[in-house]
This record gives sequence, C-alpha cells and structure tokens, in this order.
Amino acid sequence: MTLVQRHSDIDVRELVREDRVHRRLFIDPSIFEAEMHAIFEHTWVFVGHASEIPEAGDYKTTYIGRNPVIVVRDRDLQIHVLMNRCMHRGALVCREERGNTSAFRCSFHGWTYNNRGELVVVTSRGGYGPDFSTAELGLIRAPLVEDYRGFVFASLDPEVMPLSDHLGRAKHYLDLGLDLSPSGEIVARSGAQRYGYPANWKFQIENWTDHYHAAIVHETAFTISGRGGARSPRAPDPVTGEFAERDTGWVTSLPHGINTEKTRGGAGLKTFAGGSLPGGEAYLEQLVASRGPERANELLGADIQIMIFPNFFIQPRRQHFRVLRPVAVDRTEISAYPYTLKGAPDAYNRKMVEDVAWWASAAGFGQPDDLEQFVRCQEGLQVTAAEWVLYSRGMHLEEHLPEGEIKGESETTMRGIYREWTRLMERHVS
Amino acid sequence: MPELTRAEAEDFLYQEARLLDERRFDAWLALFTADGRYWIPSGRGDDSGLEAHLAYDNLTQLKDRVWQLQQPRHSSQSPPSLTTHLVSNVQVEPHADGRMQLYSSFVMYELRKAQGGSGEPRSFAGRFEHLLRWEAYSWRIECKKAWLLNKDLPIFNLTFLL
Repeated sequence: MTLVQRHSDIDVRELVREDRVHRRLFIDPSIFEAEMHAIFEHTWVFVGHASEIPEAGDYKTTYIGRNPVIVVRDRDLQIHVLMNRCMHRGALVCREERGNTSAFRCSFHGWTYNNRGELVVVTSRGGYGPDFSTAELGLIRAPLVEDYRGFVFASLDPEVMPLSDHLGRAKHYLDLGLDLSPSGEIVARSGAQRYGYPANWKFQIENWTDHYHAAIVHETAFTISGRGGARSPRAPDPVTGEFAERDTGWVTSLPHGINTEKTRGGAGLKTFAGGSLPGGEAYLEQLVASRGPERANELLGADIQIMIFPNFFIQPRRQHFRVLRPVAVDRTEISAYPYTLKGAPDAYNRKMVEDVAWWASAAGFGQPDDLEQFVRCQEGLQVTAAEWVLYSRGMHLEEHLPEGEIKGESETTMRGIYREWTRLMERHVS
Repeated sequence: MPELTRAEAEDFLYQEARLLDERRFDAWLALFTADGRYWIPSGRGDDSGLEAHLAYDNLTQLKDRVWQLQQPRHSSQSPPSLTTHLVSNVQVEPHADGRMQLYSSFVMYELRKAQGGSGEPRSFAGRFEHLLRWEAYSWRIECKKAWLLNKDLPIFNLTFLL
C-alpha cells in the first residue's frame, strides 16, 4: 500500500510550455516533493554497476529518489534492490557504503535479514504471539531490477516497460561508449568522487548535454586543455568571443527524457590522442584486434555523452559515469565513478582514471564552474517579476529521426527532459 | 644535507600557509620541486592511479590551477575564495634519500563574498603530509598531500588551494 500524496496546487500544464518552464520547478519545495514520488518512483532509476558488487554477498547502498536502498548479490549471484528499512521500527539496517555480508542485522532490536532480504532472525521471539509470521516481514524489494551491459536499474513501479525498451535508441549510444573496452566490459571499482551543490537537481541533468554553455562556462578549462596544441574548437575566439557551436557537434533527445551529446572532432583511429598516453599504443592494438579497424575508428570518433533521466550520466571518453541524488529542492549530490576498461593496459587505465579528477572532481578544472551556474540560477530564480526559464534555442533546427530521436542543437535536449517530466508528473501527481 | 627541526618545519608550514592566504601564488608555486605533486586524495589515497582523486596535479597542472583561479571568467572563483589556514600538531620524520616527511593537522576557513552567499565561512579540516627535498639551498615540496576529513563525502566547490 502506498501513501497517496496530494499535490492539488500543482497544475503541471500551467508550469511547462513547449519552449519554457516556470521558475517554481526549481525553487518550490512542494514540486520537489511531488517529483520524488511521481518521477523517481515511477521510472527506471540507476542503482549501480554490476562490477561494483562482483561476488556473492557484495553490496552497496544508494538511493531511489529519497528511498535508501541496498543493492546486493545473493549466493546465486542474483542482484536484489532492497529497501534499507527494518520492517520492525524503520531503522536503516545497513549504514555502510559498501561491503560483503550474508546478513543485515538491525542495530536497534536485532532483527536480521539475509542478503535476499528475508527475515531470518527475530530476537527473543517468544515476546510475540503464536500467530506472528516473519514471512511477510522481509525487506521490501524493488519490484523490477534489470541491467544493460552491467548498468543496473530498478523501478519501484512494476508497470513500467522493460528496461531494454525504455532505453531504446540509447543502447546504440551506450554501445558506442562501452565498446571502447577491448573486452566489452568495464570495471567500476576505482572509488568515487562526490560533489554536492546547493541548487536543484534538474540543473545537472540539463547541463549534461547543454551544448551551448560549454564554450562560455569552461573557457578557462578549455584554454588550459588546449595548451600545447591547437586552441580547442569549443573555446571562444579570443577576439570576437564567437564560438562555432554548430561546428562542434550536436545533441539528440530520445524518448523518456534520455539525451545524448556528440562532440564533433572526436578523433578517429589515426588521430586519437590517447595513442600517445602510457599504454595507449597497446590499447589501440587491442581495440583494433577486437573490433576491427572500421568499428574502432567509429568508436574513437564518437565523442559522446549520455544522460539517462532522471539520475544517470556517462562520459565514455572520460571513462566515468555519475549518479545523481536529489536531496532537497535546493540540494543535490553527485557521485562520479571512474571506471577501467577490462583487459586494457594498466598504464592506460591509470591515466584515464587520473584524468577524471582533472575535470570532474569538486577540485576539478571543469565541473565546479557548472555548479557555480546552478547556484546562481537557484538564487536568480527568486526574482518574482520574471516567471519563465527559456529553452527555445534551436527549435527551428530540429530533425526527427527514427525511434523517436530528435537531433538538434542546444536546448532540444532540455525540451525532451520536460516532455518526460510532464508525462510522469501528469500521470502520477494526484 | 641538513636535517629539519620541528621548529624549522613549523616555520616552513606557516610560511606556506601565509603565502596561500595572502594569495602570493607565484611564491607558493616556487616552493615546489620541478617534479612536485599537489595531491588531494579520496578513498584510500592509493597512488596506483586506479582510484579516484580530488586532485592529483603535477607541477604543470598546478601552475594551470593557479592561473585558472585568478581568471575573472573562472566563475567558481569569481569572486575569489578568501582563506585562513591554521596548521598545527607538526611532526617531522627523516625519509629516504635525505628527504623529510612532515605531518601536520590543519583547519581552514573559506569565504566568498558574493550576493546570495550566506556570509558564513565554510570550514575544512584534515591532515597535511609534506614530503620535502633539499634542493638549491632550500627545502622544497616534492609532494603535498592533503587528507580532507570529508574526502569521500559530497563537497561543493573546492577550487581554492588547501
């Protein structure tokens, strides 16, 4: 039985137009409350990569919206997503970030659950009557848990479509990233970098494929990364301030709020800069051997990043993925997981993992400047005289492709996010 | 090759903190050896490189960092972070090849004067490990490792220098 949440003051159609959304989406706590229910509990949410918990009994803790959950492998190596809440009085049964265990013992009264979530020990059981049954008191499981190439998603709503259908065309883009691994597998056991920011979660999901901001926000980072070589094509012209947005790539919006960004100028096989990294030459040989020269060329040229609404991001050429946790209307936390390519030379993997910090950590050269914009928006949207946030850029340039994919520029992807936002909010806000 | 007393180590660390707090970044950079490293670990602080770091700068990258944080268009440092470092609990241990390992604890306050800012300084705490090498008649930093207490928790805007 779920608690029906009433949000009668939220009229979704009044808040979202094709080319704009109302500022309340970012600053109104009641909308945040509604989102946690209508969005995060009614679609596929990323919970972890299979390589994080490879052995029987391995687990990690994470969140589905605001629900604390445990992602755990049982002795048959099946992955379960368990609500991290003792069925007795509600305490977390696991405080650890990750580990290995056969059982979760509640620290309050000692109720103990196996790693399939079944209640196996009730302490001093004699205190309960003869009708007391433990059968219905296992940890609550997410009804649906599925993965694509090791990326595990869960849904608290059993009515959603299968993950493979939900991802649709996104699988093609994920393959472009994951096939960079000569073995086809990645290993996400290089820890995590965490950052937080005092602003709304949707700024980050917009930002992942915001092709318009990069040249401006990351001007100093691009200037640095361009040193020792040509000026980054994404850096503004030092004299005119103009930048060649159209020449530097495009974005696509897929169904279910999924977005991709393709940066043109991703190198092909012959110009791949990674070839000069430690282990880079050996890596390229492996890649060509496993994929063939044509596919290898395509993969190295596909400088893409993908955002899977509402909480997953991947940037294969910087070998990491990120997971979003919405905390409050003005509080968001992100964990960035560098990963290694299984089978690639250690020296190459090492360099790629180091480079994740360079851009993406709280002390990185790139990411913090994005967060600064989010915070400035959170503050600026307090202005009551201006109600709307604009996403009209590139509306006249869109191209409709098969499988519901819309290719465009800049804010095409944000319009896609808010179509999905509207769909879920209309359906599930009551 | 000289040994370093605790008093001398304290002088070195206090001077380094002062250079940072007074934003004398070129003088601060000059404390590092050519192969110097500025390292803010997360996780175990493993340098196998297969683990995430918050920062792992060689000298070129550290110079880039110092350049970036002074750029008006680096918006996470516009306005800039004002900082006050307090360094304490200093210990000195001889290290291989005549180098000296310094252990210390730090607390620092950071504040950006911006509209919308809370006006409250943020505080950061942790431990420093400085590996010093005698070079060109002075002690220089071969590696500065800053272990933040909250290295594995979400941190907002760490674009100033620890």
